Amino acid sequence: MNRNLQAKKSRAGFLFCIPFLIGIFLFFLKPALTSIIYAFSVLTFTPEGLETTFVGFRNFRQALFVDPTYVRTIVESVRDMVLRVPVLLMLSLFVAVILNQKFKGRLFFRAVFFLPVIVVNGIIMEILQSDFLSSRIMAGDAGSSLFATVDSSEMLLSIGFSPDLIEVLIPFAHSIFNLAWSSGVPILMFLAALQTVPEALYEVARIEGATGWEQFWKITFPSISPMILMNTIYILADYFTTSTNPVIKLINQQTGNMRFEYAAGLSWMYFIVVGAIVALVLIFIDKHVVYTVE
Amino acid sequence: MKSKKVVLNFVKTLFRFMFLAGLSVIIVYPFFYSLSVALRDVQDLYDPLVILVPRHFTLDNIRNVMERMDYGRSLLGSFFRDGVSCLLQIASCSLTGYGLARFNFKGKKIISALMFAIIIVPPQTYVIPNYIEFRYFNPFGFSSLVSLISGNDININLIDSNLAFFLPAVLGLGIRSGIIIFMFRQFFRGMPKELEEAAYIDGLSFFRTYYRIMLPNSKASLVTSFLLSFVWYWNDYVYTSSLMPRAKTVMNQLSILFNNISYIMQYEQNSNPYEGILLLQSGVLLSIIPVLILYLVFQRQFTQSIERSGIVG
Repeated sequence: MNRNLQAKKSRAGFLFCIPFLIGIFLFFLKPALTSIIYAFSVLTFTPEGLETTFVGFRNFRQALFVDPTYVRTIVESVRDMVLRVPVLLMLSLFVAVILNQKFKGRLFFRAVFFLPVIVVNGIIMEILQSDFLSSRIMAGDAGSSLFATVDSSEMLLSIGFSPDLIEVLIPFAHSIFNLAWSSGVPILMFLAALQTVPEALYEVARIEGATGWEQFWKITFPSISPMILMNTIYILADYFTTSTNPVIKLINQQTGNMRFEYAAGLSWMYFIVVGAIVALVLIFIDKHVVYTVE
Repeated sequence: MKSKKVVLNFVKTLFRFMFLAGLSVIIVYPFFYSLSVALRDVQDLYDPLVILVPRHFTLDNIRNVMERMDYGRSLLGSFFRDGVSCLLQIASCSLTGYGLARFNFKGKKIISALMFAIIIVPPQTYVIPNYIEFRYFNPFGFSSLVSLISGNDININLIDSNLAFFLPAVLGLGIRSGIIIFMFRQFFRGMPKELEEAAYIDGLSFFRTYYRIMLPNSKASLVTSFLLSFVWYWNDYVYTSSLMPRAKTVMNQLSILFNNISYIMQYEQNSNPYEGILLLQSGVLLSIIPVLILYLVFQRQFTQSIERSGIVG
């Protein structure tokens, strides 16, 4: 009886995934395979369409050893990511926990913090950046009247911060706009997860005399750990695949020059790097995630 | 003792307010900037005294851009295409997410791996093959088979058709669908298992359990993913520019406007860069406003649905 149910369940699980399997074959695996073939070929345009000639690793060799910018751009982008992901995670969790508290005006602030989710988009970002009036604000430039950070490093020095620490801190001060705008989706997901933590758990903890700090680490943190994994992956993917990422810009530039095979080579190598990072993160975090079932 | 607590509470409230207000200013500033620039006359851009509040209000920029973007029709086009795609995507992604969250079956690991693959492979990687896929649409050799049987050359071209958006969406491969499937998987995994077990004992089938029990109990995730999905469709650039380059959608019209104005500013001798800024910021404003209004209208339901779901569990 039980085995029968098990067999039924496993069939049902597969059935649930069937639309996705058809979709992934048609709209991902097939184009992706074609793109891999491009990466190993030279494309020529003929009246019948695109013609591919196999050339082995030529595109990859050119990217790695001839192209002066490609490897450097990837290394820089990974380095930025290592700093950015923890900061964004902490910031968004912090904001979500605050927005989850009951205080006057929280609905207003929630609305404000979700605004970037609605409008973050390549074209608008490009327009704001191309506009020399607003680009200074976006970059946190000292010249802009609103977010002058030029004196802050001197101020911190005079308080007694070490120059090394300031060198780490100042870029964050400059990119506060960028951070605030990127944290919309993680905040949203953290908030949704926070709302699903049963209130009864906190009540019990309070009766047992747990402090707020203990409640956070013993109840809140494990309960929302599935969303921490989710958000880490989201932040990584968002950072690596957004159209303002320098590597993506490089790839788009090559596509624009009609060098499809080279662009394909660039993006597949990039994918291997990103994939390795995401796999590491998945393996490392998933071990510590607490799921209610299984 | 008690007064200490009052002071502590006050300090806490003050810090919370300062922190939130500070970040809010940063977030909101560009909106006010766009609004302020869009409503100005050109002469205000030369005036160093004008920072945010314009001296010469005008609606000319907005009117001009509305005409250039064919705003009314673009708006309708956007809402139709993105609304339908988004609903289809939610349906298919929640189904897959539920399957991955609650069942064990052969090949589940492979499906999960594929889900992560579509999250991290940038769509730019396969834009060109994807274009070809839709230009000569031939799913599993179906079109070739039909043309073989009927003897006519059948060539299905889905470029610039809404189907190029609807078909991937209904098959769980819409814009950023990997993230949405992952989100559903994580949400369903976090839900108590007793809900389903009760349903099975009552004799509900697997699909009905999902449809009648799990979905209504995950309103928060549904509303969240609906909002995200709609906005991602609305803001899409990569897929629209390759699959529907002539689409009458707000974002596409905005990007066309941006390209035109950049071109004019670069190549025309006596063009005024300030006028370009006015038009572009008006365009930005016009393309943000519909989603903004939608959000403000649904905002209450949105936050409430998140709250309400907290009761379950």
